[in-house]
Amino acid sequence: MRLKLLGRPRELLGKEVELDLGRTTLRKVLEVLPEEVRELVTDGKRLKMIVLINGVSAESKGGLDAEVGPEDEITIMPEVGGG
Amino acid sequence: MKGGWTGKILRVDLTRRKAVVQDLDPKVAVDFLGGRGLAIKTLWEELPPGVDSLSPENLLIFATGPLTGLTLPSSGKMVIAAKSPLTGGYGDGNIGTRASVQLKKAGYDAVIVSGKAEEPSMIVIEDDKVEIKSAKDLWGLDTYKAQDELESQYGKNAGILVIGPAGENLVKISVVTSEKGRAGGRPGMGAVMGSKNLKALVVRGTKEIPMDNPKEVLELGAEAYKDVKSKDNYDFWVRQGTMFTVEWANENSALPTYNFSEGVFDGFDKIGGNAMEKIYKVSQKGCPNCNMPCGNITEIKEGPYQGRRTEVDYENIAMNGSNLGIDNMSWVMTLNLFSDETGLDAISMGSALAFATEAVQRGMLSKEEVGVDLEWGNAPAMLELAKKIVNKEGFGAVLAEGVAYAASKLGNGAEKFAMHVKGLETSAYDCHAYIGMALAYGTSPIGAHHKDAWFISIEVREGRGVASRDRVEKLIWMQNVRGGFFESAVTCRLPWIELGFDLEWYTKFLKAATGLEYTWDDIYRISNRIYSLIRAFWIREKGGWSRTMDYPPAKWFDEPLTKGPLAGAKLDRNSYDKMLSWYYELRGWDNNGIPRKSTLRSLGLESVIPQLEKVVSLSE
Repeated sequence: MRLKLLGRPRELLGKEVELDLGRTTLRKVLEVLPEEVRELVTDGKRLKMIVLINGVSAESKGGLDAEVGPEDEITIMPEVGGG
Repeated sequence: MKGGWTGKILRVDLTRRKAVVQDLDPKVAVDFLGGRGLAIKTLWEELPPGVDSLSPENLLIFATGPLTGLTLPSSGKMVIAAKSPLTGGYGDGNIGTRASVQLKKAGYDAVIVSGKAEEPSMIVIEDDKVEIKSAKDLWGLDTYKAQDELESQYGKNAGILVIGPAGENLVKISVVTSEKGRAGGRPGMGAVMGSKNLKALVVRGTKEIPMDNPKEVLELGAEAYKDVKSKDNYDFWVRQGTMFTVEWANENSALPTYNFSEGVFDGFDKIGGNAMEKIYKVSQKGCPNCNMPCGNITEIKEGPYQGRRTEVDYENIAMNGSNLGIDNMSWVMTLNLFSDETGLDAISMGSALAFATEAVQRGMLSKEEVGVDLEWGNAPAMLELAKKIVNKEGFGAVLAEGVAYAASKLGNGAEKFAMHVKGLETSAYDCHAYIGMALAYGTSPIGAHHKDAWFISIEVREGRGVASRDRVEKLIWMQNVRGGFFESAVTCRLPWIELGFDLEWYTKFLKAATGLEYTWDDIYRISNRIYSLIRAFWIREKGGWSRTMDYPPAKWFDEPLTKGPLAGAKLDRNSYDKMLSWYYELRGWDNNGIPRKSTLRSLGLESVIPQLEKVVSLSE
């Protein structure tokens, strides 16, 4: 699967990251990320940033329990307030 | 009044060269807070209906609120309001400036300016001493030079508001500026100031701002500043501010591109936050009392302004970058600096230049008529046309009236690509895929600006294209917090919206400052009052209302995105109309967007009914 990152997570991990985790959950994907990134994205119970799975909000697919697979693109971006 | 408010309003009549101090009616303060609330209350009651916005009769209001200037996070803001020459309706804008704090310290909640000075003038306030002085030597200076000149006379800490040549020339897309790069009052507040022959307002204050519980304000402030700094996004925010939104908006197909024809731009990363931070940024600037400064001071690397510095943020860069097809950051910054120096509104300038470019592209206007080689991405030509707007030269004089006017002048369906609502140019969010944000623009009380509600995050997180009643409820809540509370309290919304600073702080701030126990329900009621009164003002000035006046630009309905992951996206009229009906219902307005009598009564606005009934029939 491909992770696409924006904002601070991008500074820490790069623009894109390929992961080979097979079929799994979003929670498991986030667990393999460095702690500093993971803590920005989730507190373990909910998502603190916007996470999209193939362009669709992860929250509408079960949040941290959303299923993801090898073909999926996961986009992680901070919330923005729009100035 | 125990504190928060100073309890005094300064009235300056430029025609009679008189200044008087009035008490602020405590009931008005409690019911409308200040800022926008005080402005609309004043304009509704004192402005004769149908007054010409650029006549001496218009009132120009500089208003603070009960939180302004206190040592609380990001409280250095003020609202500038008047009847708008650009839209013909209610107009206002907020600005981060030392003038906000200085005005409170001088002992005033607001300055209300009427009349017209005989010659170019400035108002100088030093506590109780108020003078109307000649500004003949300043007239014609750009805003940077005028700021320097006034700082040399009144000191670096003086609060200074100035207009540039755009305001002087009554360009309707002009703003009021402060401190080289801060601007406010998009709906032509610069032109209103120019119409009064008022070049500048200078204010210095030495008094203590009254507070009900100064110790509590100090303690809360210390805790709150610490809380702001502890937020996850704090460090990233301070480095990039709103500029990160370029990348974010592009990722979500919301970056205005080629006059809002597309939501993605090939060169987005050349004009985004990362490029800005790594290549162009040289220092940082913030408003008074702010510990999360978002002002990115950058240095221009090439072009006619090479080596000069300019403060950049998302709106200005998107509107004069991707929206004009320009991916050369130095040139985008050049356009930004030009707008700041001349006092043109950078957002509307970008929109006007893009409108003209699209008109040329569609064969509705020739390059000869425009007088420059206008093409997407041709930044030097854009700069030349911008100069013509400021000087009202050739087609620049048409664009100086705003894109709605320019479209009516061109005819042949040009309105279809004139990006505005109610005459105010759309700020920098493409809404082909964002019906909630389109409704935010459609129902904003000043025209197409984003300060009242910014809905795109919600739509990305909770699903795009959803036209539900629940979404409309959220939108109204957002308007009531952003456009009602923050614009009237008056303090900056960014700690809350950008860093997640908890809203519950603000009721505590109000209690410590004023001694009054406002609940959020009380505040929503105040906001509802303000929104209904602003709507009444629009109806009175326009002589009626129709649903189409609350519609976003036609392009988003009729011409889908062709690029990016959301290619094909466009708004659906039926869905928008459904949301608009819910919006009216939830605000207590009838099916044509006119406040119901019962709504006006329930908000304590009974006195509005007879005046409105002269213009429209009101439903019960």
